Amino acid sequence: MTFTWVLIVTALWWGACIAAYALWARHQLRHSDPGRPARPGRAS
Amino acid sequence: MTGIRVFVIVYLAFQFAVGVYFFRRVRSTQSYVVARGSLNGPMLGGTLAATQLSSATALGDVAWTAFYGVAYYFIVWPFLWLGYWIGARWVARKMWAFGKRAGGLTIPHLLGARYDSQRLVRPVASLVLIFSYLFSFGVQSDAAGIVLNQLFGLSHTEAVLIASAVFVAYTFLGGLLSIAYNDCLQICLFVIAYIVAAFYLIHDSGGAGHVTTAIRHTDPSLLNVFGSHALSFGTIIGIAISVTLLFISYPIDTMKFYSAKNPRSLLGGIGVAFVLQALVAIAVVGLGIAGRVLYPKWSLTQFDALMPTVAIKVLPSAVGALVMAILVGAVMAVSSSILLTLGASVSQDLYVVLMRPGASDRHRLIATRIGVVLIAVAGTGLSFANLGAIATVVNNVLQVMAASFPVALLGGMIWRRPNRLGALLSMIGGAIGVVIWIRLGSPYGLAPVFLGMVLSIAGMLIGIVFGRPVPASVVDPFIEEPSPDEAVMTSPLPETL
Repeated sequence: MTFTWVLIVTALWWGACIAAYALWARHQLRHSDPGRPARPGRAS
Repeated sequence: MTGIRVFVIVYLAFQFAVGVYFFRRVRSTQSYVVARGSLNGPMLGGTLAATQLSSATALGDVAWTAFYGVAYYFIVWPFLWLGYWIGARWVARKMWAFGKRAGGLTIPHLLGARYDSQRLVRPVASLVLIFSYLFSFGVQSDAAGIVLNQLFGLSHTEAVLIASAVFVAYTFLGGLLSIAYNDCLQICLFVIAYIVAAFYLIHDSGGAGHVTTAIRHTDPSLLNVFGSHALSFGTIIGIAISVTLLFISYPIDTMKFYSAKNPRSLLGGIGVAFVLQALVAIAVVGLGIAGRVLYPKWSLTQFDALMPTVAIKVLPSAVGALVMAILVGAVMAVSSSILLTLGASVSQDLYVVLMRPGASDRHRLIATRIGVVLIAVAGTGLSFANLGAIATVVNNVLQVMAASFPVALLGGMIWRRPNRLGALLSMIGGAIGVVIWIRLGSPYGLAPVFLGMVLSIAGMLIGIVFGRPVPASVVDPFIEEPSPDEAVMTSPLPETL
């Protein structure tokens, strides 16, 4: 693998980890915060 | 060189000024220790990341990447986040709710409340925290002294005293508010300095294409993301698991969970910290590999000095100044958080609990500031003793902490059975296990935290079998998920709590 590809693959791998955390955190907040209105057009 | 010196002086003076500014805003122990639960997500994320990204990252991890290749970081970082996530999933929300419910300030406070043992579990937890981190504080002051010594040619004593004076002053004056603002400035500069430095160093090494060619000539396995000749996949996984254990409860970061404004700030802040860490880490990968191209024959110890060397010799003076300033700032960010964590613990978990249970808030605030000064004096004194290599001491401290707290903290939040005896045995057993393993020279290449963790779990199980259970009325609030009422309770605590 070239150096450029190493940087790209690393960024994608870490980005996926952070995205997974963000999805989990959003799920947590939605389920413990019933007073918060859902976004228009989306199920709460 | 003069430009670099001036910039570092201005940076230190600014940090001191932040402390002076927040001195007037601190009116209660809550506002001093946990910023009155008022930090939003970006602020919390900034201070969490700045505390975690110490000089070990700024210097040591660049050296590891240069010497061992990209696999170390590629694998280890997600395991570090896994540790944070476990803490976020099972500890953070409940700890935050405890802070709002009972004015929680420290981790020993939380443990004392969970195990219904304010006069035993709480002080013991406090002593474990203080004695281990005090050594870490000592070597951090030493590290700041080394950087200032290189930059200004001061004697070691003068350099340590000047470096310590700045972060002791801003912590003493402004508490967590000044720490959080200085940390946010530090982490922004850290990200900018390391990304710019990485681009510059890669360019200086002949561009990304030439870096690939040069590394293939030196050792092609350095670009392998699953391990290199010098560091195998198995070894990295061993390190990665110990890193996960280390960051489940990283006290100087975990304590800041109390300071979040609401659950959104809390979980969002942890996410912001991940993004900031990733930005610095990707720059570290670039810097390490480009550094290896520039200095293919250097040893691991020589690579420890890679960043100061390129800051002074290779980078343009503006970028070099920024890098040197953040090297000093990295030490300040960690040391100030250690100082506040320990100062608060000395005053709240030992002095107030054991000697002045009915102390007024004003009295407790003064005691906390005196605690900060006492820790600063003791820690700075230790920095003049020969404690050993910085990375080794910091690592040993992390291992002791990682084996002492997670079982009592995490176990107490997810299971009703852990009791007072179990908490005591698990904390003491974990610490003793780590010390024994270090004394034995870490046989089989296993990190000390593994034996510590085994003894810590064994201690908890023995305690559960032989000790008395904690009353359900005490345990229940810690086991149940925070209620929606707590989740929407977003206003900061009153000043006079």
